[in-house]
Amino acid sequence: MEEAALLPTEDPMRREIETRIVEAGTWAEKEWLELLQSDEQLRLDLQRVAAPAGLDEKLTAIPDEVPIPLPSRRFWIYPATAAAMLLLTVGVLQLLESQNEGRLNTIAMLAISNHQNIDYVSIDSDKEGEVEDHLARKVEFDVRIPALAKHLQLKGGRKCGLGTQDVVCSRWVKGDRKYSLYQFCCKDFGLPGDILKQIVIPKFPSVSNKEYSVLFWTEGNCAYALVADRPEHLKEIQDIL
Amino acid sequence: MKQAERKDLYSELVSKHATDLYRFAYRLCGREDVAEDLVQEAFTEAWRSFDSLREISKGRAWLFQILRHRYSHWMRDNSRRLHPEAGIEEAENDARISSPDHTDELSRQEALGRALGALEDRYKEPFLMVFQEGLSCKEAAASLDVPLGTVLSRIHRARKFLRKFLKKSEEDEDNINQIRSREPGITPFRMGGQS
Repeated sequence: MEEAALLPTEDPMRREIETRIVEAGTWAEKEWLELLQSDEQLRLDLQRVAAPAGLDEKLTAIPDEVPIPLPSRRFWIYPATAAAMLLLTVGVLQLLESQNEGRLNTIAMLAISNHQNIDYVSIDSDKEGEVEDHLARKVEFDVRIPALAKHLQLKGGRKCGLGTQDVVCSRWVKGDRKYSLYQFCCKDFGLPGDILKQIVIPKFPSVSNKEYSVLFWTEGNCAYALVADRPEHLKEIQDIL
Repeated sequence: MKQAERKDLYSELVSKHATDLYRFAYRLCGREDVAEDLVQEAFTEAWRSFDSLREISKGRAWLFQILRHRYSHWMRDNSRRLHPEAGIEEAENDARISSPDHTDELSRQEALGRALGALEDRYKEPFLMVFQEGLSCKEAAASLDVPLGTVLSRIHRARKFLRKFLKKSEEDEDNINQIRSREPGITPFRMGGQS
């Protein structure tokens, strides 16, 4: 009964419990109502916290104190010939590339924060097939674990979020080194499907207070981000992939 | 996204969710100064990674997720200095209220704060996600990537523990008031023993 009270009113399990309560009689109804009231009292009690004065103002000032680096722009000037069109195309592609750099930097920060703070797995297994099957049931894209098993030991995986997007994460170790491998859809993060293999070390020290770095690459319409505690831990993996 | 547009959307998130985030942070850590720091860090990270927020309607869930990550980070950095939380089993068996000052009268809010401080994070976090953040149990399970049954069980235990702790606090309060009414001027020891 206590657990059923936590479920939404339209949940079938709760409705079944409520039917049984009504059948059981007045004493059961009284207990049920006391339980619901107690829950509402807890909710109200939890809300009795006054925010500090000026909090909104301090938070609203953050954009002025923490500028976002703008993507660099490079413009090519050509005489009015076909070469100008070619260089304009090159300039647009470079602009897209710098926008991609900004996005990769953001994804790298989110992935590093997740790698730092969350250590558990929802499936504890060193078998790629098992982990793939488990994670495939939780997301809407094909889960494929790359062939890292020769070099790293798989420990398991879980579904998680980077920003508001669903991704899957597998955890790997090699000796005392820890790695987190994230797989996600390129389109969910506004990325093209053909990122070259590259290591990104985010530009914001408050997140990467060690030397966390992220190796990115794509396969099909999915991208991978492999987080390691040090850049040299990634270099050897990059050469293998 | 243009800078001005980003700033406007960010300010909208601040005005809608900053107070709720602070309340949640305070209930997680039990300290006003730390809660304020956590909220500032969360919004700073949100501002820096604003491009990853694809729909503003998901801003609340996104901010709470960032805050929980910042809290985990803070707990990890401060774990050596913090008094270790009692396991819920130990706390359930010994729901005594301890106070360094015998004359303190614990209000329900103070008792709630102490009770939450005694809860392990694996019980406290899903409990606050549902009871304070307003998620359904299913959403909390998805966010924590644990089965729904696990979330229901943990919240149930957290709720049971809090009720027991609060009830004991109210009983102690009544006992103290009775003693005071019989013998004004006498400062009673807190009933239930002192750890």
